[in-house]
Amino acid sequence: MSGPAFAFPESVLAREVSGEMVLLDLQREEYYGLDRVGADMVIRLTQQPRDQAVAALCQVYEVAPDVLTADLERLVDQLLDAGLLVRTQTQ
Amino acid sequence: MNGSPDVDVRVHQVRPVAVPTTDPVEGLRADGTTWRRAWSLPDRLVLDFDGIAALEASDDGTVTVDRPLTPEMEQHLLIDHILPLLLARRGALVVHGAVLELGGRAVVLIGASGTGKSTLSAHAWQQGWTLGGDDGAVLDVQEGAVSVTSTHSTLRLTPEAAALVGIPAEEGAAAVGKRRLRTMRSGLPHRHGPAALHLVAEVQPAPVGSVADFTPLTGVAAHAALFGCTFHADLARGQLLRSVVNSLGTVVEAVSVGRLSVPRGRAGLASAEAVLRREVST
Repeated sequence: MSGPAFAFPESVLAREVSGEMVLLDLQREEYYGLDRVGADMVIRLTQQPRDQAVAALCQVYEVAPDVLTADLERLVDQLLDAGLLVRTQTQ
Repeated sequence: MNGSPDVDVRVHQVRPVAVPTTDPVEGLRADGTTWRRAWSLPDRLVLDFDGIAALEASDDGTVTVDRPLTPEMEQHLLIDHILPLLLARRGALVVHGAVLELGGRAVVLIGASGTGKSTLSAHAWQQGWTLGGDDGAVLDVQEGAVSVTSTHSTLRLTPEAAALVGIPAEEGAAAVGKRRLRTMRSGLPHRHGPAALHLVAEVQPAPVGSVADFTPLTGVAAHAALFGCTFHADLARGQLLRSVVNSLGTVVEAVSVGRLSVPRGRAGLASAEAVLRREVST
């Protein structure tokens, strides 16, 4: 059974605030914010396998899987580049 | 000098202060020049105020300065800089802001220096609000309820601000270009104990003649507004910041946060006070 494909690094504090999300990189002392949709995507990706997350998000936002996947990958790439997310062993 | 129920700060001795060679957290003026360098070390806090003095403060409130200071400057550095930072080092959640209260509901005014927090506080004070102080606010977060206590019971006004609100220029004591009024000597309502926090308003100056307005902030926008005015960011200590981010998340979900536009001039203060009064009553 596979687990979440992504996790927050230990140096990153993620705090959900009223449905949105604050991300604080404690090493670089940089502060980021995600809106409701971005927060929802990241929460699901760090809590369940990628396929389950995509399926759930497609239902919630009533969007075609290829469109959602493209948006998701763009967000994930940005977060990986910024060091705010890491891939897990289960990927 | 009794700064709060939790900490006393006092100058213990004058002797050279060992300024660390590691990278400091720098406080910058609007023109990008440094006005203060800070090092939060495991056992002490070191602050180097450009051209004024270097200070070393231990967590018990004992302060060493590297040169004699005038009483006015010593009071300013201890009350307005060392005290909130030491409270923050001790784990208190401290934001740079003024504390007001009306009908048992407290308001914290935050915002960049020079935006008019103290001037609006003075005006509201004259209109019957209870004043805690205008510099630091200690937030106590318990099970979704938030209370607030000012770090020190004083109000500092520039001569222009004092004139605007009708306070005589000679009132209070000199405080590095401003006048410091002690709230408990004023005869007006004052409070140093905790009060239930109802509203956080980020003060933003607006043009003369406009009407004051309150714009609610939620989620990350509200959190960022509060995070930006914490004293903890000056300390840059990972574990403290972790706790600050989490506690501010609770604050944002428990109380109203928003931007308060404050038109310049006496009429603008009246307009902003009326908006604050309305918001704190709802």
